[in-house]
Amino acid sequence: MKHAMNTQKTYQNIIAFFLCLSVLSVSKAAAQEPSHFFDIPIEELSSMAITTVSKREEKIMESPSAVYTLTAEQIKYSGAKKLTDIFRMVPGVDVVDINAYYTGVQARGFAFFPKYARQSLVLIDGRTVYSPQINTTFWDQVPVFLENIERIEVIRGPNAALYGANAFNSVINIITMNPEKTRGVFFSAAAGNREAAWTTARIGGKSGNLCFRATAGYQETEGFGGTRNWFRKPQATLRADYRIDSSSMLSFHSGYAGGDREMGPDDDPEVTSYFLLAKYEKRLNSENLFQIQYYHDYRNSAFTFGHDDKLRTDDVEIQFNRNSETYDLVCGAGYRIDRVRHGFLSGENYLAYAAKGPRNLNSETRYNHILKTFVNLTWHISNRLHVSAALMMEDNRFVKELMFSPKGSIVYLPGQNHSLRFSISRAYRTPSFIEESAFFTVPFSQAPGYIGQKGNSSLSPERIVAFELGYRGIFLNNRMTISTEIFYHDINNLIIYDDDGTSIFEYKNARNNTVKGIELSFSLKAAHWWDLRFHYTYQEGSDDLLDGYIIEQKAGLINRFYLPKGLVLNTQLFYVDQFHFEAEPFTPESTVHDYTRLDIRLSRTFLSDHLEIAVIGQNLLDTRHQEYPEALGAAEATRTYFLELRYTFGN
Amino acid sequence: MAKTTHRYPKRNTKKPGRFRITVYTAVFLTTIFCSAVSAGPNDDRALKIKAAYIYNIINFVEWPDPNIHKNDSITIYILGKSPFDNLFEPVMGRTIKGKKLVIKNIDSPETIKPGSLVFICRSEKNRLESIIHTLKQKAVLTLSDIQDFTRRGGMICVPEKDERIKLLINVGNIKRENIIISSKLLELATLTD
Repeated sequence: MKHAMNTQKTYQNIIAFFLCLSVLSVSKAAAQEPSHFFDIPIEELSSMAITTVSKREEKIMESPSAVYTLTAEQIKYSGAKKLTDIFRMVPGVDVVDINAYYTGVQARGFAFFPKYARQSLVLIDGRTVYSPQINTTFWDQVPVFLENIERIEVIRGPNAALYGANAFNSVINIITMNPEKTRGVFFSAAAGNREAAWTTARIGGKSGNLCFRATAGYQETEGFGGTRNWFRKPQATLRADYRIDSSSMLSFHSGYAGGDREMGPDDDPEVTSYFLLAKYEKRLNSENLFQIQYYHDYRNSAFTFGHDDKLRTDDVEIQFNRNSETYDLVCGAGYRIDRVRHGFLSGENYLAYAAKGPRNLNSETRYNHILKTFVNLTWHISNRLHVSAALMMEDNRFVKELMFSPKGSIVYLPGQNHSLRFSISRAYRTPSFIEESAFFTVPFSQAPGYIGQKGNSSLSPERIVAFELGYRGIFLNNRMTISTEIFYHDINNLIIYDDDGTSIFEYKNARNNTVKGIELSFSLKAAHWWDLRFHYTYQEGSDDLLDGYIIEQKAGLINRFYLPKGLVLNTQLFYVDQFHFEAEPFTPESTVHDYTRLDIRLSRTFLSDHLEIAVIGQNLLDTRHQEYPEALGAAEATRTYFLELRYTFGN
Repeated sequence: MAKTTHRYPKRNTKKPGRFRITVYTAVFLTTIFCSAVSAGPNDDRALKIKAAYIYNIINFVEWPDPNIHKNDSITIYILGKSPFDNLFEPVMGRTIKGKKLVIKNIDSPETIKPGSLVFICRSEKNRLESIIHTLKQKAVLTLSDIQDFTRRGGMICVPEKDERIKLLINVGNIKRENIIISSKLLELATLTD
């Protein structure tokens, strides 16, 4: 009874808080003259977005988070063919390749613990592609073309206050180009060693108020060395934007990705994923924007652990944005339902497993409902001082309590070219379907003849409280930027599995950890023909056992030279420190050694820039290296070469 | 082989209660309501960027007529149906290049004084050529967000493209009026014929 009253009091306090917030914002709006827009330097005006798909838009200097934006140009010149390779350019981000199709991408803390990168949230045009079955992102199953990406915002540190649970260590926000920008015909083809073939064809057009783009492509490679990991991926995406009138727009996105993923001899399961997304945007008046978005997502990732694995998601979200001179507001609410079938949830025992085989362990469909509401308010107290407060409330069926993920930040600009920021935030990673509900056993050679996994319905979500201090500066007449962050992450209730001396492993909230680190990045336009970027990260954890899983140091040096005769040379050098895996039941301990990777792309344009021919070399410094323990089934990253052709016409 | 009969353990937590949902709704409606109540003047982001361009461009332009230097004010004319409402209010009366800034909304190009800047609104799309003709040899810097503005005799266009406001400059049209434009501005712009 007392508990109930306390809860009620908390709710009342929350409502009171929001009321105060809103009243304050109204009075603040009336009190201040809008003027700071006129004081923005003219060179920044052309790069400012009128609108954006991100939850909030800020000029990078005023951003309360450690945001790094990858542009279409950076993506192209990097020579990356795999989407995940481009994240090597981002300061503070760990990219761990397991094989040709499976990669972990995460920032701050564990690169890949214990079996997958589970603390980073990935969105494409506002659609989450994070998988709730085991909480990770299967990058290879996402229908997306590098050539259609406008930019990627990588936000390091928790951002659950805006994006919801699982925006734990970082958020990767991929934004594809407006179809206006991709009118005409585009074709690219790349062929390389290890039987690699990468092709993309795109057509875009406009008819009246309708602007559309259709893209199709095929990727194939024999994959990495060491184990069998042949990868084939046909994919297609469609986007159509219909402008209803000058203030409202309807967008429709859809996509398909498929193909097979080789896991061993005579074992190459098919994966299928498709999605449909519809979004309606209405500018209510000049300052206020209303959006409603719905998507349906289907993924059959049969290759995950070699088990039947199907996910169907329906997600609807409404969002209201208000950008005024004195304050910005984003608020919204969303509902999501996930339906999962997975062999791990089947409840089948080892005898049934032996009789049917792993792919035929059909489970009942299990559900999760997630309901969320969020509000984010930023006051522009003056041109120099911006204060924001954000709160996400979520109700997830796997978590007993309502989850509150707040974030508070202060951004201070002592001069036009310098900004200092401090933020405190809290976020959660919710238990996955498997962590919550797994129940199965498989035959095993040692007594008692089987091993299995058991979910735990009383798990608490993993929780992080993060403190971050950051600085950004612009120097040398906009030719140099420097950015640095110090962070301290306090992580509780880490979910790991424990065998308890039996052969059934049960998931438990077993460990706490703190991770602290420093990130440094800098970019310089050294000459009109020379761009240079550099980044370095150092981080360490407090838990002796878990510290080994953290990649302590990494660095990147990226040079781009614009040479005569339309030649462009891009070189990327990355250093990644070693990390360590402790012995686990049935896997020995192992160390992944540090490595240095060099990627080069040399290109030249012809036919008044319609045609571009490029030579690409990746991993040039060694023939092969491990990025994840061989004992856990990882292949070796190999040296690869590509010859690439890109043709654009009628833009 | 009998089917495994293991029942998955039931959760002991409650479904989201009515009270919880009420709280959600209340919070959301409150925020929406408060935002709607505090809805402000018409100055969306695209317009703000355009206004900022208009205002800032003055710093990068030198007018030829010596008489202009005698004036103690510099005028931005907004010709036609202005989308800006009171967006320029904060800079009205500000001093720019040692002169007082005046913003005037006008309907006819005849009233435009030499050595000033005019923003031609989209409402004037159909009579653009005649406006440009009227302004000939008056050393008036012309700006607009009308498509093809620079091709139809205009000097600086600030169109919306790819969710951004671009800066297009027709150097020939500017030179014809003997207006000098700084190279810094030209570096930022896309030059057109």
